[in-house]
Amino acid sequence: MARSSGLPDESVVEILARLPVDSLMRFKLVSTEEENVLSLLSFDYKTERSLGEDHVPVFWKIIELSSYKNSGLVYILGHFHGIICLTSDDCGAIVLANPSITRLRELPQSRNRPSHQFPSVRSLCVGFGYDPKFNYYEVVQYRLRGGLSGLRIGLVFEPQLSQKPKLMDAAQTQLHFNYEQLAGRSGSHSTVMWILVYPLVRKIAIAFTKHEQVKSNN
Amino acid sequence: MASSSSSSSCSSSSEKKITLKSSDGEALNVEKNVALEFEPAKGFLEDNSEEADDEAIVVPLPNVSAAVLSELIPYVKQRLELSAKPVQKKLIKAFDDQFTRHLSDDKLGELMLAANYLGVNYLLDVLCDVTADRIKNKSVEYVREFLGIQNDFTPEEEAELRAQCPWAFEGVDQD
Repeated sequence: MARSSGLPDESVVEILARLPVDSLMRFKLVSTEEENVLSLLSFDYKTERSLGEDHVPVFWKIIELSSYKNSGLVYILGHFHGIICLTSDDCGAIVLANPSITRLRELPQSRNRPSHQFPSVRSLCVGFGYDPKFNYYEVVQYRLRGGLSGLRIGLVFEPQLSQKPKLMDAAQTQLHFNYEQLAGRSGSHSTVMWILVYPLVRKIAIAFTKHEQVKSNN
Repeated sequence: MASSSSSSSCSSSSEKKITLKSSDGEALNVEKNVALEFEPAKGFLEDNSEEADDEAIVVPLPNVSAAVLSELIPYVKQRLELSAKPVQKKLIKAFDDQFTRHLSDDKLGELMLAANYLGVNYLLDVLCDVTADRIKNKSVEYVREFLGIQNDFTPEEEAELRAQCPWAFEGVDQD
């Protein structure tokens, strides 16, 4: 089935990967080929038509954590704008995942990682937040170093700039991160998610529901 | 197109001209550094590197029309100049925005095909962004038209898919 536009599959996939969930669900209907392209992206939606009294549709999606090196349990740190932040049980790797485009991005490790100096030291805590004023996504790790004086590693992501992720320590400068690529511009969509843990298969299943939201006209 | 007088950064290689031959047989002279941004031209020039005189080389680009090439060349040229300087990404983005803003849907498609064939990935990236932005709130019918795709679902299949996620069909822009 040739497209008269002649666009190759890769380009169509690239375009689709930038679309928010509802557009993707709609464009499955474009043709069986598009449906196939979408399934190549391993979009795995299954609908449960009703959940309780609200009849909220729930979508399940499986994300392969193949790039996620650490075995063990996966924890969710938080989510904003459909982006969820995951970490393993030792907080060793931090991964941003966007279920709507099934894309994962592992954040780079800090040069200043305490494990080099203190191999036995683990993170105290990790947080994920969004700063609406500056439109930054922040991942902050507090780690123990010796006594109680925490070593802070702050990562700041600036969505405006498209750059390869590189890590800086908070004291020095901010980290620029290609947020838009990960976000697929789904910023205006609100998703609510939670995670089931599959330690062995390294997959996470994410259920999300779409709630009506006042759409910002942008 | 404003003629940029980048007198300071002109190296000898960028002054050399290469001739590109479009699908419709038109010959276009471009700087060698611009031609090298196009994968097929780069390969052709490498294969014919024993040719002493670059001016004599004519690179055939049988998949791109002269009209598209003459849009691409100034873009690539300016983009190269921009990325040679330590300019902010914002400026490059503004330049990309300016380039894409007035493109018709047809032109967008033509450029995307050309950028794909020529391997100009930074342009392809921008064009995908723009395309996604244009179609994201559009109806299925619009996107079929836009991508030039025939609907091959049976009405029953289509109705079934539609029923799976009715919310996806709400709040769609007028075509």
